[in-house]
Formats: sequence, structure tokens, C-alpha cells
Amino acid sequence: MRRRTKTTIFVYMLLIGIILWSLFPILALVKASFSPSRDLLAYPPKLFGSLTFENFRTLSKDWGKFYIGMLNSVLITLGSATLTIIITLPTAYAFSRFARTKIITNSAAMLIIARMFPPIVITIPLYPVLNSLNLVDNHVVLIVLYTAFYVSLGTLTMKSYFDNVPIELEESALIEGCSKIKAFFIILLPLSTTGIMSVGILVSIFAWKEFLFAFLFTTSLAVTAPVVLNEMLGGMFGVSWGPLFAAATIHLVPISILIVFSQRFIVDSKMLVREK
Amino acid sequence: MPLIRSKHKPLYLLLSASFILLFLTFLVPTIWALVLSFTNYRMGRPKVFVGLDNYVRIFRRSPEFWLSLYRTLLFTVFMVAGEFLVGFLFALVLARGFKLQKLLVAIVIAPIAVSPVVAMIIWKYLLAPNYGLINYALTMLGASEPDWFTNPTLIFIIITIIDIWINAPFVFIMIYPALLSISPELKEAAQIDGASSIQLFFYITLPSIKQVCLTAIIFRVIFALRIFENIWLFARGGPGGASRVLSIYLYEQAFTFWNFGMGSSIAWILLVLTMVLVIPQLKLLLGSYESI
Repeated sequence: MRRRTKTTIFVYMLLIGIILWSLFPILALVKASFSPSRDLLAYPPKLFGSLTFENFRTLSKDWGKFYIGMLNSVLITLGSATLTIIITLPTAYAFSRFARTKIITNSAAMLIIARMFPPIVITIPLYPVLNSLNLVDNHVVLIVLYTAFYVSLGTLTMKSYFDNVPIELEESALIEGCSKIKAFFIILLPLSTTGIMSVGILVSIFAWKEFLFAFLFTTSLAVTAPVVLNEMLGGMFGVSWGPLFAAATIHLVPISILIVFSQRFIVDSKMLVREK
Repeated sequence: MPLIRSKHKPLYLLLSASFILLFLTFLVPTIWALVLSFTNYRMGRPKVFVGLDNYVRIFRRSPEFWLSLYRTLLFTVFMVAGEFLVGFLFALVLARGFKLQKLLVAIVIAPIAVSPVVAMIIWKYLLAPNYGLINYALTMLGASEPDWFTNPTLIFIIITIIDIWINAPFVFIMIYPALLSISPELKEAAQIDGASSIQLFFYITLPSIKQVCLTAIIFRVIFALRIFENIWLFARGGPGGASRVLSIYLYEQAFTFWNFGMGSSIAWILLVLTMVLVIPQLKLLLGSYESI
């Protein structure tokens, strides 16, 4: 009995450690974004100072560009999620519903190899081409690139959700004279909304956070929030932490909400794979 | 039974969108990069074919290349080991089941919401001299204030720790569901047979999730080899090149010195390095394909 209590205490101490490790840096950031700027550089550091919106006001005054970045990030994230779903649906359907021929297994292998591919390799060939075509600083370029990065994982995730829908449902529809395309839209698609959501969420998380390609391929019009944040961090005259924290917190909010509400998609999509 | 047997035309049509996209965005540029790697191409100047010159220069006359390769491998070993151990430990603890389980899972995966830029903003502030909370805590404990931004060893350590903070949740996401799916009957049977909890771990738990662990490690290795943002945003490859890994070396050659020929050669070396490690594992990866 005593040993069990000891184990329990140990486990709860671990749990507290885990929570602190995961959450402390995030909470420190959010708290700092509401602290008056004089508190931010105080020594000793002030953990429980007063709260203010000062930093958010400074941000709006000095860094209007950040809001353009946020708007662009929203557009590019939604665009990538939509395009990825549209592109992966037919491929996933083929993988799930067609007989397992050589073509299918080879294409699946190719998709997995594509996932292994270091994307930085394509920055060099793309840069001069996009430059000469005047496509630098274009939302669509980033949307297409982000979609390409997630075609592989998106297709395979979508396929595992399709696999979970019993094929008999479509077959009986076919017997009643329904076309295959119609069966896809009225039976398979509505029953796979979870899969569609999962794919959309995976891509959104990636697109929202991506830095390298946005940094290389945007300058002003299509500049994304992470690029502006980097600009604020590497300022010529030292960092002004206040507005930077405010901006970082704003960038964190939408994706945190997405992750909290989609937790079951993120963890379940792995679960589904496991059951196979 | 498959719905559609072997009609090729609709099959090609269905596969076409994904593969045309991958062809245009990956295959063509990659092959073009191989061509460029045999030239001395610089932005705005004509390309001159120089054969293997870039590769000879890199392998024979560039100690910086070997150093950055060494740094890449060193970071990879420590980052992946750390990410795996932390993610694995978190999964083991949470798999015991608690009240508010969903909240706990959300807390553990919270760093996924943090983009590399935001992570670096947080950590740079926490590590700042004087007003940084971590340094303050360390001096309170009697340590002298570490200089996280100029000491090469400390930079290596802190970048590794931050990377573990960012990426351990991805390992957790893979291992946690796998742990939950181990059948309770199996564990009960072993316990009835008198297995201790240590035996249970080594003879039941570990073998059941071996595949998932291997897959997680392979994926993390692949992503660590190409690491760019987590280092560049923190230290820009510095101080004095101390954190210049292959990707940063590539980036500097291509986008600081505008030497696209050299950059392409490094890109192909990185690509081959990744593939050499991946191809032998392809069978395993074909069976399971997780990782975000």
C-alpha cells in the first residue's frame, strides 16, 4: 500500500512538471503581452505586475504591417486548406476504392518519398523562376507550395477515413442505379467529414506557422505574420518587447482555438491508423 | 472487395491532380537544382557549366561544409533523442489516465500552436541577460549568469532544448494513442501471471509500440536533418558559425552570397543524405505514415 502511495505522489509530481514545461513559456508570453513596458525590463523580473493594453496600442500605432501579415496568413491558411482538400479527395478515393494494383502501391510509395523530401531543396530553382515571372509576393504561390507539401500526408490521412466507411453502402447505391460519382458525393463524402476536417486542420496548422518559404517568397503584399514577427524581432535598434509580445499573442490565439477544438481530430487521426 | 476493379482511365484521372502538383513543385525544380549544381550560376549572370567543380570545392576545400555536416548530425542525435524521451515519458504518464484527461492532452500538445518565430520570441526573452526569468532563477540558485547568446556550447544546448520543447508533442501524438490501444486483457493476463510493472513495461508495453516508436524516430530524424527555422531564428547560424547546420550553410551560399550553383550542390547533398537514411526504412514507413 505504501509503495503505491509513493508511486502516486511521484506520478503527480511528474504531471506537474509536464504541465509547467508545456505551458509556462506560453503563459509567460501572454502575461508579458499585457504587462506595462517598464515591467518587461524590470530587475528582478516582475511576475505579478499590473495589466494593461498599452502594448496592443503601440503595436497598432507602429506596426500596422503586422495586421496585413495576419490578414495574409488567414487568406493563405484558408486557401491551402481548401486546395489541399480538393486535391487529395480524388487521390484518396482511388487509394481507398480501387483494386490494389501496382499503380496504386507505386503511387503510394511515391507519395511517402515525397513527404521525406527536404523542401529547402526547391527554394533555389524556384527563386529565379518566380522572380522572372513576377510571382514573388503572391498569395497563390504560397498556397500552391503549402498544398504540395501536404498532398502526401493529406491523401494518406483522407484514405484512412475513407477506408472506415463500409463499401457496401456505395455498392447498394450503385445497384439502385446511382452513378459512381454521385455515390461519392451523396454517400462517401458526407460520411467522411471528420477526415476532411482532419486534413484541413493539419494543413492549417502548418501554413499558419510556416516561415522559410514565406520569408523567401514574400516581401510586402503577401507578407505573412511570422515574417513580420521575425522583422520585429531583428530590429535595427534593439527589440521593443512590448508590441512584439502583443503581436506574438495575437498570432497564437487563432491556432490555439483551432487546436483546442480539434484535439480529437489530431489525436484520433493517429488512433484510426493504429486500428488497422 | 474493391468497388472498382482495374479500369485504368478513371484511375489515372483521379491520381492526376496530386501527381501533377508534385511533379511541378517538387520533381522539376529538384532536377533543375541538380543541373544548377554543375554550374557556377549566380543571380543575374549567365550559367557556365563547371562540371563537378562545386562538389570538389565542397568536399575537398571547404572545411566549413564538413563542420556544418558534423553540426547537423550532432543536433540530430541530441534533438531526436530528447524529443523522443520527453514525448515518450509524457505519453507514459498520461496513458495512466487522470481526471480532466482531455485538458491534460491539450496542455501537452499546446506547443504545437506555437510557431517557430513565436517560440523564439518567448525563449529569447526568458533567456535574456538581466531581466530574463530563467537567468534570474539561475542566479537565485547561486549559479553565475550563463551567456546563452555568445557561448557556442550553451547555444547548442539551448537550441536543442527549445527544439525538444517544440517537437516533443509530435512524438507524444504518435505514441500516446498507441499506448492506449494496447489491450488491457494482455496486461491483466501478465499481471495475473505475476509480472512486475517493470517486466510489464519491457515485455508487453515496449514490444507493442515498437513500430510506432521506430516510425516516430525516423520521422524526427528526417525533420532534424533539414532543420532551419529553429536555429536560424534563434542564432542566425552564429555566433561565428557555431550553429551553422547544412540548411543554414545552403541558405547563406544561395541567398546571402547569391551563389546558386554552390547552394544547389549542398541541397543535393542534403537530399541524398536524407534518402540514404530513408530508403532502407521505406517498408516500415509504407505500413504507417503518421507525423504531422
